[in-house]
Amino acid sequence: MADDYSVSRADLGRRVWLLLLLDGAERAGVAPVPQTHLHRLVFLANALSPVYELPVEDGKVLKYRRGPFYPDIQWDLDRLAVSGLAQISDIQYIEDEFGWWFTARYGLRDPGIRLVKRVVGQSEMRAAHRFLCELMVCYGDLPQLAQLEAALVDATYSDPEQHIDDVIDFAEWRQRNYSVETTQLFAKSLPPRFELNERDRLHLYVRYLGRMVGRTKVGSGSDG
Amino acid sequence: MVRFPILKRLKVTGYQLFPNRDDSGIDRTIEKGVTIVAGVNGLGKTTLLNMLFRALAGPFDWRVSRADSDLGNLKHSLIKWRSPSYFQDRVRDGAANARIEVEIGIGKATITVGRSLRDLSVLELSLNRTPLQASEERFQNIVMTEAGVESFFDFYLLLRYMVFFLEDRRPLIWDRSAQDEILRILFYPKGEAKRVGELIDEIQSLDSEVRNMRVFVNRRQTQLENLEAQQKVSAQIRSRLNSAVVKIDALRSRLAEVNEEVERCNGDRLKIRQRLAREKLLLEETKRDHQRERQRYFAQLFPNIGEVANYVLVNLDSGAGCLVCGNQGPDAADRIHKLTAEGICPVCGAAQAQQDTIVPKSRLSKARLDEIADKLRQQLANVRGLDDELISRNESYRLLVEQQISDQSQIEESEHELGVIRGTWPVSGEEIDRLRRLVDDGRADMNDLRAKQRTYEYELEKVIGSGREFVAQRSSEIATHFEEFATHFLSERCQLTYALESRKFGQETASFQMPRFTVKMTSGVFAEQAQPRTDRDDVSESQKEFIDLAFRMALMTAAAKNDPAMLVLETPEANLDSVFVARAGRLLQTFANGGGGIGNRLIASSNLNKEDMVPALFGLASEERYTVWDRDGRSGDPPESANAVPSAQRLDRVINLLKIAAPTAALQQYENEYEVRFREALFPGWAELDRQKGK
Repeated sequence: MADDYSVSRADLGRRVWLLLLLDGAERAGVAPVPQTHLHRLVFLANALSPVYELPVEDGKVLKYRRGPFYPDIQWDLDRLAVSGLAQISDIQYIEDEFGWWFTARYGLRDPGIRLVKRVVGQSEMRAAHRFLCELMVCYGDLPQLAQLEAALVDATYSDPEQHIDDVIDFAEWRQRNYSVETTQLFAKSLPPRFELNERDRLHLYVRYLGRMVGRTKVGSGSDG
Repeated sequence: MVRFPILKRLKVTGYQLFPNRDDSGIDRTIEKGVTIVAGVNGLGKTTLLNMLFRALAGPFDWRVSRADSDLGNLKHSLIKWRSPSYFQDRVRDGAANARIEVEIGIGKATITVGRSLRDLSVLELSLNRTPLQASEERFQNIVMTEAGVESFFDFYLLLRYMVFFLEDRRPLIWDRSAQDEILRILFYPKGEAKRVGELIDEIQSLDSEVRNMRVFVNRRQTQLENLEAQQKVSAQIRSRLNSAVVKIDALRSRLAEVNEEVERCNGDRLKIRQRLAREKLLLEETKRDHQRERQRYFAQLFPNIGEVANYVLVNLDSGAGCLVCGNQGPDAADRIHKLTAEGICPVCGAAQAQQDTIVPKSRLSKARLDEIADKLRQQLANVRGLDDELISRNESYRLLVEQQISDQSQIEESEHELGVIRGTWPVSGEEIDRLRRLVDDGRADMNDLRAKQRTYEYELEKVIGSGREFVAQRSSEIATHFEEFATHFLSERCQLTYALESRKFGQETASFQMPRFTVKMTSGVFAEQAQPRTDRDDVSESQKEFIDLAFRMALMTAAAKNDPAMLVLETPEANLDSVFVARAGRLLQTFANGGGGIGNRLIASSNLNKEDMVPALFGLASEERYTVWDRDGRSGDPPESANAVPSAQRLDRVINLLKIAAPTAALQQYENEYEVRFREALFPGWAELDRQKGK
């Protein structure tokens, strides 16, 4: 972890990517997004990027007892908020079953929206933006509980072989992305005359996660 | 004791070649003595005699493939008849309803067998007039039992070499192996005759198998020697090959180590990554816990401060870093802790005395804040340490994987090089080993088979040894009979010599001393001392066949003792000089008149074109003798005709194909001439005096 005086290209790229995600939330009308939801959406966006044939920003996640949480992402979010590009609100310190934790909501501020507009002009970011916006639309269509818990029932995150405090590696040092495989199974299970595009597969999968939330008893860090 | 079959009655019906004048076919009782099948070319003499043979032999043949060759090492079993359409092909209707029925006497038994001439199947069978279920197997069993032979093959040989002397005229005395077989059948003790055949077959089969195997083994041995020679030549290539193999082994060994290191390093970095991820979250939790405690303090300090500014301050205070500038060093937190613990303004550093608005002291003691700071510092150090360690371990991993790829690539290159060397290498050690195994195994198998063969040979030697004694005991008797018969035919003195001769039953079998007879005969040059005639070419064409017939008769006489026997001859005059005809007649008459009460049967076909043979067969003396007898006053019986068939009986002793057979074009055209010739043959003018005497 380098001092932030010399921000790496990777860090900058990640923050831009976060702005795109927040822009998607704004467009889908779900902003400001609770911090817990946001981290879980970051995981889903990473896991499902290959559906849109996009590179994965972070191909691993720790199976944390409070659900997917990225300390580096949190730092980036807070920096974006203090720098005036993102908006942070409803900061609260709460006590849950594991101890004291905090919550906040994040959205975009006007400078952030203008920055996103300029960034999306670049072709390589446009595809990522389109994907993140579509993901946020899917997320917005889910019932409230499903919005919170969709990531916990995701095929990759809920892999029964991975336990709390294990690192789930789906695209960093190895390629084992059950989420993408599941979207491919959808395509295969349909009659040949039905062809699913990437958008169809994404929507079907997120809708499937919503249904799974209803059927599966999940905790924040559930193995199930 | 062996008994020979004699024909007592012959009936042929429905066969278009022998319709007879009233379509009744042939139905004749065969009396003892001579029966002549008389005809001219094309009337079916050969066919009729073959019918007689097939009535007894059925649809079976031996394995002899060439009619003019010696019997050789024949396998002792029969195969299916080689010419199954022989009788069908000679008639328009395919012999659909034709059948032959013969009544045969063997010893005291009378066997009647009826066969279809289409396929020789047994249609009728009886023993001593008692009908039996008609089957080939039954017929063969009866025949074997009554004839006293142990296999139908042996009966078949008796028919071929003793009873029938047909168109192929297979010699017996001149064919050593045939003689061995006949002597075995006729004189070896019961049980041993068959065993000899079985043992010979086994020995021949093993000998053949071993020789085939040796061809295979020798071929492999040659290959092996060639390869071993090439292997020596290839010492240089071998050296290169060994170097390449050693190099590959070393590379593989190193790669195995690298693989292990890669595995270990990967395991390490996985653990470090996991610890780092957890440590980061622990740090996050610690920060948030501290922030919660200090949040109120800053709210009290700055009552109207916004939540973002408060969030910035608590982040700074918790050591999370400065959200404004991004500095994540712990110094800022230390400074704030120190100031707030003493009530000094954290913004300008003024002591309480200088303060207009009193800055409250932190509710957390300095010690507690220091404790938190230490914990944060420790966790941060852990995170940074793990981060560095992960970077380092990733680098090690990267280098190891590069090493892995490089080693793998070198192995592939070296294996390719090895392949190229092997391509120039003429032979592999494995191939040599394989060939050596094949050769060794083949030799071991050959030795086993040879050992088995030797066991059979040992047993055969014992059995033949026993047979030898029996033949030896009868040898002088046989020789005597032979000399008696031969005297009738030959002017020269002709004798049989009994001796042991060596015989091998296969190319690589033991030799056995076989009891055999050879012919010795005087000649113009050796008038006093009979000379051996071991080869059929050592005698004239006329002598050859009749010496053989004399030998057969001698054997039959010796073997059958007082039982009757039969000879069926096809045109005995065929190879006979005319001066020998009367002598041949005398020989055959002698046989025909033998056989005790039941009497021998002599059935001979004769071509009326050679008119002298028929009177000779009837036992009449030659025209020359008659003339002399007439000139000298006709004293007593005509010469040598004491046993001649009387004129009144001769027609009954002839199966006249001129009448019985379907007439040929020549017969239709010259019927009268043929008829005259027939009568002249039966009743020759020069013998008219004989007829006038009422004989």
